[in-house]
Amino acid sequence: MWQDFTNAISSLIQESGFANMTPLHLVMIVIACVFLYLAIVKKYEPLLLVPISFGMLAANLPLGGLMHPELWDASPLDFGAILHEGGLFDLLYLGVKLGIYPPLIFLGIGVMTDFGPLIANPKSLLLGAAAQFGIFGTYLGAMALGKFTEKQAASIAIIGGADGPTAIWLTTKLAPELLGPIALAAYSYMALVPVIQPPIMKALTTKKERQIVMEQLRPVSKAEKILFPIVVTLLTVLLIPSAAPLIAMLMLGNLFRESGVVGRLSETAENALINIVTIFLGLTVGATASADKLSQPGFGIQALLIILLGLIAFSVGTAAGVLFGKLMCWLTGGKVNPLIGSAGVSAVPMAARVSQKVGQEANPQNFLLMHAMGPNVAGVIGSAIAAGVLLSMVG
Amino acid sequence: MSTFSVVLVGMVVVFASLTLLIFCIKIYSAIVSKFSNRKNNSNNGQSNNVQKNDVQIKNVAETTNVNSTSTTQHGLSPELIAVITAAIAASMGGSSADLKVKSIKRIGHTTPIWNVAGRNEYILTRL
Repeated sequence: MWQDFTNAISSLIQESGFANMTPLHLVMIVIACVFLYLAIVKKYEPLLLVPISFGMLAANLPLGGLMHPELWDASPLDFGAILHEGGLFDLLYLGVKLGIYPPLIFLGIGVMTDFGPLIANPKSLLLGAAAQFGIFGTYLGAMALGKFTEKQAASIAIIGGADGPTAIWLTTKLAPELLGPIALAAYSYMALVPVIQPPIMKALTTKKERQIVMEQLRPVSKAEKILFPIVVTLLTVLLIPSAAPLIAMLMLGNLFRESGVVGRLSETAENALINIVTIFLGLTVGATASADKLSQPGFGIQALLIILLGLIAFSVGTAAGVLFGKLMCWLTGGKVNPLIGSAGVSAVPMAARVSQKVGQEANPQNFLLMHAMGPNVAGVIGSAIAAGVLLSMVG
Repeated sequence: MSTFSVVLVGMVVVFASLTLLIFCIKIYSAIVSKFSNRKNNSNNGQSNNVQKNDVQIKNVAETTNVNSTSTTQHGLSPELIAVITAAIAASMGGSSADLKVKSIKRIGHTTPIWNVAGRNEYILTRL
C-alpha cells in the first residue's frame, strides 16, 4: 500500500514540469519576466508586450504542450499534423503563419487613422519615403555582417519600419525562425521612440530650424477623404501587388471611417476585432521564442545582433527623415520644420508626438503635431510598400 | 540579386510609388474642389445673399478695426473682434440691420463646473 503510494507520487513528480525543467527553460522564463516587468512597470507598449511575454512564459513551461516548435520546423508544413497534434498556441499561431492577423490589425489601424493632414500636405509622403532608408540601410548592414541570409536580413531590416504588424507579416514570410526576437525588438524600440529620436533630431538640426512655425494646413473635404483610400489601394496594389494584404486592409478600415455609413463595422474593427487579434498575435508570437531555439548554435548571437541592428534601423530612419526634412526646408525657403521628418518612421502616433515635443522645446508657441501626422501616416504606407518590395525581391 | 541592387531598387520603388501618390492626391483634390466650386456657383440665389452679408461683415469689421486700438490694450485683437462680429451677423441671418459693435464684454461661465471638468477630461483622453 505504502509502496504503491510512493510509486504514484514519484511518477507524478517525474511527469511534472519541474523534473523536466532545463537551464534553458529557466533562462527563457527569466527573459519573459523581464519583458513582463518592462510592460507592466515601465509601461513599454503594454498592450502588446504583456501578451507576448506571457506567451513566451507559458510556452516555455515543459510538458505544457501549448506550442510544438517541431511541427512548424517541418518543410513543407504538415497542416494535418498541426491540426491533430497541435496545442492551443499552435492552432492560434496558424493566423500568424498564414498572414491573417497583421492585415486584420491594419484594418483596425485604418479605422483609427485620419489621413487628413497627409491629404492637406501630400508632399509629406516624401518624408515618409525618406525614413524608409532605415530599412534598406539596415539590410545593407545585416548583409555586411555575414551572419544572416538575405531573407533574414530583410526581416531584421523591416524593424526600421517601426511598424509591428508589418515586421511580423514580413518575418513570417521570409524568416519565421527569427520571429520572436524580431517582434520583441520591433515593439520594444517602438516604445523607446521618445528616448531614441530626440538626440538624433537635435544633433541634425539647428535651433533656428527647430523654431520654424509651419503654415496652418488647409481643411480637407469629406469627398477627398473618401477618395483617398480608394486611390491609394488602386495605385499601390497595382504597383506593388505583394503589399496588397497590408495596404488593402489599411485602406478598407479607413474607408469604413470616412464613408460614415458603416458605423457598426468601423466600431467593431477599431475596438473588438483589433483587441481580439492583438491578444492572439501577441500570445503566439511570444510563444515562438522557445527554449529549443536558444539551444540552437549561434541563435543567441543572432538575437543580440537583431537587437543591435534594430536600434541602428530606427536611428538611420530617424536621421534620414530629418535630413530630408532639412532638404525640404531649404527648397521651400524655410517653410518646413525639419523635425517633422523624424515622424516618417511610422510608430503612430508616438513619433509625431516626439516631433511636437522637440519643436515645442525650441519654440513654446510651435504646434507641429498635425504637420507631423502627415509624414507619420505616410510612414505606415511607406513601410508597407517597402515590405512588399522586399518580399518580391528577396522572397 | 546583389545586396546593393536590392537597396537601390527598393528605395527607388518606394520613392517612385509615393511620388506617384502625391500627384494622384493633387489631381483628385483639384477635381474635387472644382466640383464643389461649381456646386456653390449653381446656388446663385443664395450666393447673392451671402455676398451681401460678406460685404456687410467686412464693413463692420473695418469699422471696429478703427476703434480697436483701445480694445487691443485689453487683450482683444482686431481679428477676434472681426470674428465675433461676423458670428453675430451670421446668426442674425444676414439682415440689413446696421451692425455696429460698441463694446465686447466677457461674461462668466454659464456651464456648470462639473460639465466643464467632464469635457476637459474627455478631451485629455483623446489627446
